[in-house]
Amino acid sequence: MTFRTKLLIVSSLTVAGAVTIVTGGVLVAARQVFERVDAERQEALLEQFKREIKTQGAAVSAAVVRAASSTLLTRMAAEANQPEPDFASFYTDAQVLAENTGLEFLDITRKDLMVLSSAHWPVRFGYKNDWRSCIECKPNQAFLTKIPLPDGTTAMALAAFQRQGDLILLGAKRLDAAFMKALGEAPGVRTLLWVGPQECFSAGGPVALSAEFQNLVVEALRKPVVSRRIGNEAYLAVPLQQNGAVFGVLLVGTSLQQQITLERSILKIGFWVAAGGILLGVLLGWWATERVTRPVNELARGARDVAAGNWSAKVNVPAGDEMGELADAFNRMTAELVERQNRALQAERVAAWRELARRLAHELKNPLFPLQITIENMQRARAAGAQEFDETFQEGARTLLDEVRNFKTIIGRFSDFSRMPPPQFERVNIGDAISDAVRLYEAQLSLNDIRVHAQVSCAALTIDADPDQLRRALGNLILNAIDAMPNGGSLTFSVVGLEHAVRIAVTDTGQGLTEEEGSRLFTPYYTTKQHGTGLGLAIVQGVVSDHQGTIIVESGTGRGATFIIELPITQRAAERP
Amino acid sequence: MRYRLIAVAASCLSAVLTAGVLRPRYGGMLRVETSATGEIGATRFAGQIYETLVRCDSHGEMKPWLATGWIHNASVGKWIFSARKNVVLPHETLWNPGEDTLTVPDTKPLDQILVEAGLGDKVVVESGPFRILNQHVGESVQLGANESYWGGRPFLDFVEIHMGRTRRDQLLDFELGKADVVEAEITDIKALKQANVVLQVSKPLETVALVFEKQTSSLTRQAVALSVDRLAMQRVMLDKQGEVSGALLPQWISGYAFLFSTAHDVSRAKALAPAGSTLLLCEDDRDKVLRSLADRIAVDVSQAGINVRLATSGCEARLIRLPISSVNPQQALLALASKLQIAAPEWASPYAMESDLLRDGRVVPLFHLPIVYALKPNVRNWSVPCNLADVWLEETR
Repeated sequence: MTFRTKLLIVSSLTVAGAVTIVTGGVLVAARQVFERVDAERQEALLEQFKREIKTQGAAVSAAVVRAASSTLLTRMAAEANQPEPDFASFYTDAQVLAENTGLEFLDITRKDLMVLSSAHWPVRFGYKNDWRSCIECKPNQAFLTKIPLPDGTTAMALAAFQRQGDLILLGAKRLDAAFMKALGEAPGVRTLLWVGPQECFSAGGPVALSAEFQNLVVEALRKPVVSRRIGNEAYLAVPLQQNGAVFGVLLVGTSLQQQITLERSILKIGFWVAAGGILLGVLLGWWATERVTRPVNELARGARDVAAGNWSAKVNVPAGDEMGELADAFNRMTAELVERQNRALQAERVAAWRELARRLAHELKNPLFPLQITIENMQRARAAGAQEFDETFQEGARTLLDEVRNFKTIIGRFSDFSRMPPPQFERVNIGDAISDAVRLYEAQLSLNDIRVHAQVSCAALTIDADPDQLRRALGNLILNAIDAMPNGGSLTFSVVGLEHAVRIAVTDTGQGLTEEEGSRLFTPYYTTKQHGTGLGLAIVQGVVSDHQGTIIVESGTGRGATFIIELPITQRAAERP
Repeated sequence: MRYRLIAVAASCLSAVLTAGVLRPRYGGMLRVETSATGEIGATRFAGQIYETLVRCDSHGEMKPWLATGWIHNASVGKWIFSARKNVVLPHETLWNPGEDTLTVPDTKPLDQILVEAGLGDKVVVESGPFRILNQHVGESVQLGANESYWGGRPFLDFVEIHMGRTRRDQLLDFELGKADVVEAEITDIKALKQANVVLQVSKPLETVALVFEKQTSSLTRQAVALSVDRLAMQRVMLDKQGEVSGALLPQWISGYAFLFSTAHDVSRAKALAPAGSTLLLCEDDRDKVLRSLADRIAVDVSQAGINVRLATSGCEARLIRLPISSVNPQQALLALASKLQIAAPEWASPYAMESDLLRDGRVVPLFHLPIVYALKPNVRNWSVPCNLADVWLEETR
């Protein structure tokens, strides 16, 4: 990952993180404000509910008092005290009283709570009143209760009772949609009254509760207060209790629509701020990294040039900061390297010339001595007489010609090395090339008692090569092996095909090379032999190098030597990195 | 002396006036409303149009009617009825029954033959004091006097009977002057009396009973019968009218109704009731009394652990009124069996026949109720069972 990419990522993350933290903080603060407002609204509604219960309770209590003081009830009380009261006359009395007093539920009972007349369930006469919790309350005090209905359900109601002689009068008004309507609802607030599993209503009428609401109610029946979010509303569930018994659950819901809208706005703004920040960060980062990475890239390019051999590479970075100093140091370093290289090349060139001079002197000195002797013999024979001169002349002329020829050979070798032509590539069968080379030196090999072995893994293997140069290189290696094995031995050629190259190993069983000899073996004019020019293996290396190949030698003293050449199968393959 | 003369004169005047008021008057149209539905021949007014060979009298005895007598011919093994001579059919033709109509094999006892003949199983003749002038089945029937009636022309010229009217609607029509005779609830008796309405309250002539469907379990039927508090209902809801009973026929007709149990035993009912059992009870939601009785039955039965739901269809039990069509116990029982669509009992004593009908507990009688008619003051000689031929309308002043 580049420095620029890293910098861009870090700057983007920083901007995004900062915006997220700020947005989150604003969201939490907004939510807390809304929750506080909602809680206050719910609390206000609960207070209103309690006040309404009190008001309605007082109305119920007053209606019961009115009914208890009516003439009808007085007559009933008198009739009930008769030895054999006429119960049939009571049958519709409760209905009449309920109608007169506006009570929805009215039971007139004896002291033992046996119903004498019931307004809402007339046929229940003779059975005991079973409104829950009414007995624990005092007269004129309204209480919550549940009243069984003929259809098997129950109704939650506000009830009150009064005694009239031996009779008890229990009246009640249902807590239903009308009651909820009277409660009133502020905008964004919804109130539900749960009375039973199948009965729940709001100001608008009966409501079917979803499973989420049912769960909330079940929880509220066990706890004093439960709050929960359902859909887009926050609900507070308060159980309605009387003397420890739960008669229903009041659900006060406040709409979260405004809160949700605000949260969405905050999130939207946060998103756009983050996006803008990231974009700005990217642009600034780009600009900053451009300033930082351009000299670095320049330095990297210079370093790559140096690595590629261009020691004179220079970087052009404006001075003035650390990067400028670094560039200056780099340029000084490359200048020094070039200077040192030049000095080394000069020294090497001088050494090579010295070696060449030494070798040339050595090579030329050898034939000079016979020339000198021959010429001195011919002078002495001239002085001795014509007959002896004639005899000596013939022999001397032959020797002179031999040595001149020897001179030519030596000069030819040097000339060949200096005039190595560029290879002319064509498809060459590697086996054939080896066979041709061996055939040229077959007589010398045989004369020196050297056996040739060939291990070619793929005889049909062909490569792009100059056949003449390849034969010459192989011939030099054969000559080198003949020189290395004066007492005979074996010479082994092995060819192995690689993926994109071919490996040729030429192994002799001679006396081998020391480490120093091995390291200098391919240096021109270096030889370990008395009569060698030191150009043979240099020529081999030159050919291999011109074919984009490599050559190494593996050897040790007394272990023979193996020259390993790797040549690309095709010159295009050789061009691959 | 002067006072004596005044007294005699007053007595004479009173006698003259009374004679003028109470003397039956021919003519007029009587408007009657009833809750009965269906064909007129299946209502209490059937006898005013259709006649049978014999008819039950007010003491439950089978008396000659279209047949003037019957004799037994032992040689042919048949009872032979003598046909009345002056019976005129519609279109003014004389009734001339064939021999087959008037002879009955003597394979059955004579009582049974007479009861069956009175039911009209074999011979029904449209020769009554009134004839159908116009009929909308289940809605209204207009009857006209049969001028050629063998028993003499009825006093009324026309009778208009409106059917299928709820008792509440009937009372409304009565108060608005749209009807002269209407049926009234027994629970309204007190209020109507207070309003000085002329009422005709019969002896108990209707049985209120729970009728179970065949598939209901016997234990449930027993539990329901035991859990119903008949007495409380009769005293409070029926305003002490009618009779509590476990029999189909009222005591005044059969004389043995008290032998059938009306026990109220909730603990035994609880023990009998199958656990978690339910009962779908149907009632006629147009009948206020039945509706309130069904509500109370639901409360009572729920004490035995049976959950009763009131419905109008898919019934497992029904609360119905069964009219007693005859004061002859056996004839009434046969008519009830036919109405309940259950197998008629073998001919035997009335008690044995009734016991047979009630044996499987499918029918649980609860009450015997009187029939109450509210009459306009000018309606005279109205009787229950009704005999329109004797009714006349006093001229309104």
